[in-house]
Amino acid sequence: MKNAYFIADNIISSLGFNTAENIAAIEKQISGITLIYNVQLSAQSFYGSQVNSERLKNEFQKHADPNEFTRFEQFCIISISDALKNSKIDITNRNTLLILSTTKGNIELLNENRLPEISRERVFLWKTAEEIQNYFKLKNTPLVLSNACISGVVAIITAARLIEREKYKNVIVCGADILTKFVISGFQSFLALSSLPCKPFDKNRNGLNLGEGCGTVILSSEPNQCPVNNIVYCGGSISNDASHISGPSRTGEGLYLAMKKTAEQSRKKLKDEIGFISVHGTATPFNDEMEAIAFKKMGYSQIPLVGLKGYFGHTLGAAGVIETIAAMHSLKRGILHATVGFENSGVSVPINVISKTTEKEINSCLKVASGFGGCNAAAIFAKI
Amino acid sequence: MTKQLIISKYCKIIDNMIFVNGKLVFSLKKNIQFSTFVKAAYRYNNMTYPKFFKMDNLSKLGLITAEFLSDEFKTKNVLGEEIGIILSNSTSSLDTDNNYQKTISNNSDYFPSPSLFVYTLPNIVTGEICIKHKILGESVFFVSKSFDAGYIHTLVSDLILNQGIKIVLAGWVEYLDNEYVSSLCIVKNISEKAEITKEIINFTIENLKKIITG
Repeated sequence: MKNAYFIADNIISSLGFNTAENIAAIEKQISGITLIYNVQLSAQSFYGSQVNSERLKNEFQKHADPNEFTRFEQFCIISISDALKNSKIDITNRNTLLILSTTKGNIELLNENRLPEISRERVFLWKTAEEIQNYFKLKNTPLVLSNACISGVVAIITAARLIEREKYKNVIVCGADILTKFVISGFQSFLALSSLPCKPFDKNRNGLNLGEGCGTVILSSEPNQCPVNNIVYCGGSISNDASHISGPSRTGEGLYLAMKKTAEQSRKKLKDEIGFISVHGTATPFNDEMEAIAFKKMGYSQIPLVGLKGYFGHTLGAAGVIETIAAMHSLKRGILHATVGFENSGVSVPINVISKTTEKEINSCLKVASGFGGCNAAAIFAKI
Repeated sequence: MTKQLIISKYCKIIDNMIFVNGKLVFSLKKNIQFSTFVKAAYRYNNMTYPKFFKMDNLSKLGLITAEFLSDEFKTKNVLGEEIGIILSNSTSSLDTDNNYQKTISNNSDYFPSPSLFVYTLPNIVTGEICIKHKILGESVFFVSKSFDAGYIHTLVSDLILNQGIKIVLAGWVEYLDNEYVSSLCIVKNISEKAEITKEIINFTIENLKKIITG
């Protein structure tokens, strides 16, 4: 069995167009969440995290004509290009696979007034992926994964397994979602949006903020040439609560199960205790409570928790990828990120939330995610 | 211990006909609406599951198909966490996406509802099957232009050989604008097979493709 190493990455969000810009902002505890007035997105103003459209246009012009690609496709193309620039892999080789992770992709194309020049066929996720495949001249048909809010973590787990089983040498994981009226109105109808910037795990939390963005991470069986600070995938698992399609289980049993299997699988590669947990932490009352209960069941009450939804909002299919990249850079730089928005614990069991940027030598991270459909995912990666 | 993976049972629903292991078990005339057909299939199975009637068409289709295979989940000594699901289709949840879009496209007639919005994700059908059959293991939904037997074979094999899963429900479930097809199969290690029958279908890419798309 081969190892799967994380060799290059990119984040596009309201905080910047590459990983370095995003990490610098997070370390300074700068949030990308603002009050957004845009009738195309919502009749009422709302707090969310939006990518700068002017800069998007300027950045994309370096790659192709912005009129020929949707916002979603532009995110993916810029992000994958930047990640590839930082790696030496040959993408035209059969050894390289692209996995696209998204909840809604080009769903804005259902609105007939949007982008009339773009073919409506591109609302099909496989067609969206084909556009990206053609742009990069990739040999293999991309694998497209749509698993609600756990999509990004599932994409990384799938990529790592394909490398471990030697099906591919390199897998590019790209997770993206954009802000649309479709998604915003849906979360509004659920009364799930916070009226203020979100407050993960806080006693005054009252919902989530939506965000848009893209994360790309390249996994490979060949580690980077630098001998230090390589990050390796240790294990991962997916589970289902089998209790409710639109709310997490009250007992945290599903997430517990995913974490338990992940911990067992990671035992061989993990030298010590888990350094920190990158939580899902949407800041809805039920999600954060469920996570806290599951952590307690695992005996993880003392492990530092880091939640990033206060910086990016909930970027849905991108969230698991973006948050994994941020967590890897925490390991590399020895800096734990603050859970912006958190002040006082508002869950029923003890937790250890990191509330300000903290320098600490850490070797490993557990990433978790949960989502609609009762799904949960967990993955552990470590510095070697 | 070497493992021999087999396809132990399969079910296909198309044109108002239901085939189990290739044999027609239930049908209505082709011109009958899906909503009528799926209700009849529900009654045929003697189901008492009122939640069914709240589901979108993709979930109803997936749930009914899984129902015809559900005896395979009840194998002795297999826990809920040892059962996994890998489904795929080409249109994701587009049928419900279109219905939801109608509720938000006109500002003077704006009525988005959470009960409809939740079905605008393709993995809700996997969630519904998990709830019905207490399946706690891995469930994943992929989108591809046509059924990709190669990828699905790789991922299903990995679940059983390396991820502690003993039984996998895999296949294709698609519903868009009254057009539908659902074709699912059960994959397991031969030692989990409940009864010895003459015919053994080995879990190969060719057999998977033939059974799901044939």
